[in-house]
Amino acid sequence: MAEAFDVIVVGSGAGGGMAAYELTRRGLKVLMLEAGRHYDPLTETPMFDTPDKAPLRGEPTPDKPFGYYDSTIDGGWDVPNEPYTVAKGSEPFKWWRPRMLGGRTNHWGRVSLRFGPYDFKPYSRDGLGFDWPVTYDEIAPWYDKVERLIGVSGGPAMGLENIPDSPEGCLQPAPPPKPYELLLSRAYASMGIPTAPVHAAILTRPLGDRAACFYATSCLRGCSIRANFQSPTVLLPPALATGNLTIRPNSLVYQVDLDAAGKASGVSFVDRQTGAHHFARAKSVVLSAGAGETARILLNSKSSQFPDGLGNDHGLVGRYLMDTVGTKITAQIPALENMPLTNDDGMSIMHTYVPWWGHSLQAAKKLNFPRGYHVEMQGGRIMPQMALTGWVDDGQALRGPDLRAKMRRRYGSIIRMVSRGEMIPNENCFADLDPDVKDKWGVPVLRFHWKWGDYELRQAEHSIQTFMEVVDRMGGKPIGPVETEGHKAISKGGEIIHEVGTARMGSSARNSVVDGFGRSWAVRNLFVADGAVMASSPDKNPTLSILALSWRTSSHLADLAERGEL
Amino acid sequence: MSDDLKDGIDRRAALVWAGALAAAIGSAHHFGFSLGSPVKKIVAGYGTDPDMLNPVVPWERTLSDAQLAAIRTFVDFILPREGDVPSASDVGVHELIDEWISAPYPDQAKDNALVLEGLARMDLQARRRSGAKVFSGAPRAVQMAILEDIADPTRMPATKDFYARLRYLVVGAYYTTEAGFADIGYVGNVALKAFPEPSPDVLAAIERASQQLGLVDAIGRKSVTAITGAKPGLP
Repeated sequence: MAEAFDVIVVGSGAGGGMAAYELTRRGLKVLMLEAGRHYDPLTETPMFDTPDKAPLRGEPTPDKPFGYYDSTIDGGWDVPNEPYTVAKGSEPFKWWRPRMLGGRTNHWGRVSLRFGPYDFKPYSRDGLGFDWPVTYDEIAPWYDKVERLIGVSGGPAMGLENIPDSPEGCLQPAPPPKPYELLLSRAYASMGIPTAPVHAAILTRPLGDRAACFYATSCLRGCSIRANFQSPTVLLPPALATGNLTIRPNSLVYQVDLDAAGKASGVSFVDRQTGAHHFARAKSVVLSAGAGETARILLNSKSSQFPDGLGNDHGLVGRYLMDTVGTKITAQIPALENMPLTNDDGMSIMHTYVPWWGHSLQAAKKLNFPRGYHVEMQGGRIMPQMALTGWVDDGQALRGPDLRAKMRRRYGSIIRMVSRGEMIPNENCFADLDPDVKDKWGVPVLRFHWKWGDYELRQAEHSIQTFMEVVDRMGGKPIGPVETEGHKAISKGGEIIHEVGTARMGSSARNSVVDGFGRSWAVRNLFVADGAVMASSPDKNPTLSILALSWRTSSHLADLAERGEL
Repeated sequence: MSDDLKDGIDRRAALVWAGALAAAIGSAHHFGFSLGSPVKKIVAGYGTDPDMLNPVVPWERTLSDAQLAAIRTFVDFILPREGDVPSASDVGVHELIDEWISAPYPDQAKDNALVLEGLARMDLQARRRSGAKVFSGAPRAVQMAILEDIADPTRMPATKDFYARLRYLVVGAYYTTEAGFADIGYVGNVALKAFPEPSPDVLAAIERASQQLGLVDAIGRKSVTAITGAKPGLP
């Protein structure tokens, strides 16, 4: 590509979208390379469409693993022509990728919790994992900015330990709780556990020219009224409006190229439609391809200077891969039967969640796992799907009037709770290049290695015990078998789609891939701005933090460029 | 064939059944209950980037007219019309079943094998009891008697999985329609200006339930009822 660019941004999701937003505002010419196709949520989102309009009632298939209306395009657990492998002897690992503008910001729950002060210094607190080279106080102003920019609802302040409240003016008001959440909150309160309004990247008030949520249509479909956060509706339009952004879709980057002086000169990519290989030149490069693809690009960027991959002198690229610990339970609660008829759609996620409550228990050594989890919930009279109606039906083979009456009575009495917990990085969880397998265009693919640690397994068991206690206190019964043993209860590696940590930030080139600004120690005009930089993976869902870190990284890059220091 | 003997089928009938079943799945070489993947034309699914605003089902439906008629009777056996409330077939559940078991995906292929086997058994029962060639050709009283038997796995253990799975599909397919929404009490999927505060009725119901369950607040002000200003206690 002949045009001269200041910065190449690889990826258009949370990290890349935010990088483009900041860099173009600062006057830098940006080329964004997105592996997937162009995508416009304003014209492509199936708002209000019901299951009976879709094939197979919209149920998941291998083509659309989260259902027909899920926003994910050309992806899922498998992407055509782009395989990955799992090493022999490894525990299972799954890798969710879309191929679309905006990446995984189109498909996510919108839970937007700040990491807390403890989360940035985990090693200092309990001797496990790694400290970040930054503190909460350094990142907090960027959380403030992100919340104001993308629109996050939540609050009021709760004053809970290590669960940061946002300063006045950052959050929009939380919506009122859904009816079933009131009873769940009472059950948790009876156990001494507080619940709180969730922070969600979903508008409850108009923001700029974006409309507020009208409390219908799942956010996982995307949002044509732009009431939730998606990179293509929130970050890319203002970036494009500067005139400084060029987006090239279908461009799968596989290598960072270096000049004779050892600086990044640009990237190599393949056009997924034509199969042609291209080189794009720029003065600096930002990798925001997601923790997996970013590691893959670095590992495939081999040269005489970096025979094992760019920035991999200490063998840290691809290492300390983390995901979120996930467990789940589904239960039927007779006390929720015959509740007054209400429209429980609301935001498509819960309005109320359960922040981690056990810091003092852990400090007092009363728990056998060191890091916490929060609980997300689902319930109420939400739009019927095949699975939901399966849970409502008690399988007693009723039919006719008896069946209808039972379905009406039990509908709205089904709750789901899931835990989302912190994983401590370990030596057994990493990605490297498969020595044999290549993608359609001849580029080596990632090979994942995975093994949950004992801490995660114990945490998973604790969450299931908590769920059973809550269900019991509500007078309910779990639906289906409840796995109480950690290995069976815990999610598969990657399954929660929070993979982070493959190019972590740290205090020196010896202990990390990038510095506290996401700047590569090895190639100083190369930056990483996605989940790869995370030194730990707290229970709080990562997207908000990816946005905050990417904004800070991009601002730093622009500062360096202004000072001529790149 | 022990299950068939429990069903009261004699050996000759069992052989007839086996022939019908083999024909139903398109292979003369397989019979028995562990039927693996059915032999069917390979067709494509809707792909990884379907038009979500204008969905189309790209595969052809594969049930014969007689099979579809049998499914139609089955779905209305589970959810018949009741006054103004439509039956399962009124809202096209039988057609969804046809679409479902004809789909080129692994889960649906499993259901295809199960459903075709079950339909073959229904035909066999109809032949035994009335001499009709297929279930849909039997008198209605015979059809109902067969379905009553199938609905009770102690009487017809061989169709236990078939009945459970097809019933699941019928229930799911029915309540995922607009008519099903109305019947079950789903009142969402409409745009609201604001999400409402819990009504006094809701708060009273929650309070009643909490008291019945003995849920005593062990925190005080930090429960969500407190922070949202929704006071526990009757209005």
